[in-house]
Amino acid sequence: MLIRQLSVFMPNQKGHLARFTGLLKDHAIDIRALVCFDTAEYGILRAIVSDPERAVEILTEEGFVAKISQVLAVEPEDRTGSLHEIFRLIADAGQNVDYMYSFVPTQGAMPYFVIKTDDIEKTGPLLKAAGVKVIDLEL
Amino acid sequence: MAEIINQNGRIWNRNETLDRQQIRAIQLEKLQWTVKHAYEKVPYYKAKLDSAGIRPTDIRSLADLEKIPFTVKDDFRKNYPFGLFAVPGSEVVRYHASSGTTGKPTVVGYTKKDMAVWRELVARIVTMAGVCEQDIAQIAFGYGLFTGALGLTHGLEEVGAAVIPMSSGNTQKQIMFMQDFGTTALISTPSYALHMAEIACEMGIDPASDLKLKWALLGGEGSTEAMRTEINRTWGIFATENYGMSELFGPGLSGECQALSGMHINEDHYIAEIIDPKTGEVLPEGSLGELVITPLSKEALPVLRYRTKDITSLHTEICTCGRTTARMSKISGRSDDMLILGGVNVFPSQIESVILCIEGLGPHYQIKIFKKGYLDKIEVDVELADANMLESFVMLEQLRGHVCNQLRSVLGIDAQVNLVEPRSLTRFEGKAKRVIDMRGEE
Ligand SMILES: [Zn+2]
Repeated sequence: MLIRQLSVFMPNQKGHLARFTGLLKDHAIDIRALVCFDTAEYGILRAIVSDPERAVEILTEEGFVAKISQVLAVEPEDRTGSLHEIFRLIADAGQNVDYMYSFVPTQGAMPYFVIKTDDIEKTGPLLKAAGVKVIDLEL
Repeated sequence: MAEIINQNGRIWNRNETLDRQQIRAIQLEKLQWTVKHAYEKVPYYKAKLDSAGIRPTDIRSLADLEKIPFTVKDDFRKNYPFGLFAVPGSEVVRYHASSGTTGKPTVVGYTKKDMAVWRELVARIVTMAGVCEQDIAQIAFGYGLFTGALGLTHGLEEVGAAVIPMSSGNTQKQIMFMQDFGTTALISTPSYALHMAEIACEMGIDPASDLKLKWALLGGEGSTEAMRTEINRTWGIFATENYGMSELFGPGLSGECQALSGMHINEDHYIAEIIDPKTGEVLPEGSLGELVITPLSKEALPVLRYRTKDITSLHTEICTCGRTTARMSKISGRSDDMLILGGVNVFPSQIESVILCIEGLGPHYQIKIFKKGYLDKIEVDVELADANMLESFVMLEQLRGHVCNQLRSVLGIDAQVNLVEPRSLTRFEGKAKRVIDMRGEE
């Protein structure tokens, strides 16, 4: 039910993101989704890539701090209020959302929402039971 | 009351004006007592002197001092907490401690008689600096285990000045007390004195004209002549420096008089030598080298030939103030890698041991020190080693906060901690360049 996401330590330095993308390109690893928010000194980059294990390996070799994080991807229904239902469920279960972002898996498709909570093992079954479409397959 | 009052101010004790021969006679007699006391009461010193083939009776002249092995800070560490004490705990009336190189503090103790000597020594220093019984002295050193604040308190009370034990920090309140109490003497580190002046100005108070300060006694860290000039100008004050360290009583070892021609050493209670820090060889008067001090009156904790690691020179030509005691020049550096950060003594190795104890960090670090305004700013770069910290940004921030807290609680320094990537800190062949001190660069 959980999918494997890449988490990478990103110091706020010129060219650092390009170093990351360059490495993945050189090793023919495809980036499906990428988020990195503005922070003062450093942030954590999150990415959904075609081969996260290999990505961690090559990044670590090159001095990056990287790991695989287990996150949940859901596809909310295309109607007003569907996202609210998801977050209401999580909140009511007493879970906290660490971060979330959305991406479009293939052109023209509905966006996926990647969610990381502080009790991620329980979030999937909770949403599934409530009828939310949880993405099971490896991307 | 000061014993001597001349046109150049007061001199607290006649022993500050003895001729050189009289001073040497006192020094020899007290040195013989100190060596005997250490030999008979402290097994560590006995073993040290025995292995050097010296008996207390071998000390027949001051020249024999050279035969005695040095004592270093590490000797205190090895004998933590009371191994160097020469009296039973029941005779100790006060303990102080300063930070040590490996987390174990340097512990010092005082008998009742030691306390009286210490009071006397500091009384002389504050008298040299211009302070008398009319003065109201505000102490802006941190109180606690460090000897600075309490040492000055004792000496100022001895001369009859009124002490305001403000401690450090809380700058706006400091200024308020200066205004409301009519403070005339400020006891502070030079950088904090400059910082306080800035805050006073921000509060709409001109320290030079709106306050009554006359004297500043600067200690805890060295200062440049430019800093002193700036302190004198902004506060409308006469600033002097003084010197001491807890292993040698604390403040009271030496201080500047109104002539500002070096710091007069209280030579009837200390013997000062200058050595080549590499060879240990004693250098002639006037040479620049490491200061070695043998205190002559310490009961609870005798110390023989203590290597201060401070670089200075000694001068005995007559001072215009009337004192005949030797003077030491401004400390021009250290013969080890100790850093003085905002008045706190820190060794890079101490920062290293704090970092090594924190899980999730790599073993490498870099310390950057610079001036922000007048205060020392410290940045410590540490390497993030544990990828598990990437689960959430909160975990990363907690790790960083933990490093800050440990540096503050273990070492007493406020540092900005930066997480960096492993192996990103510059590696050096052989000895690593851990410290980048940019304070001297304007
Ligand atoms: Zn003088």
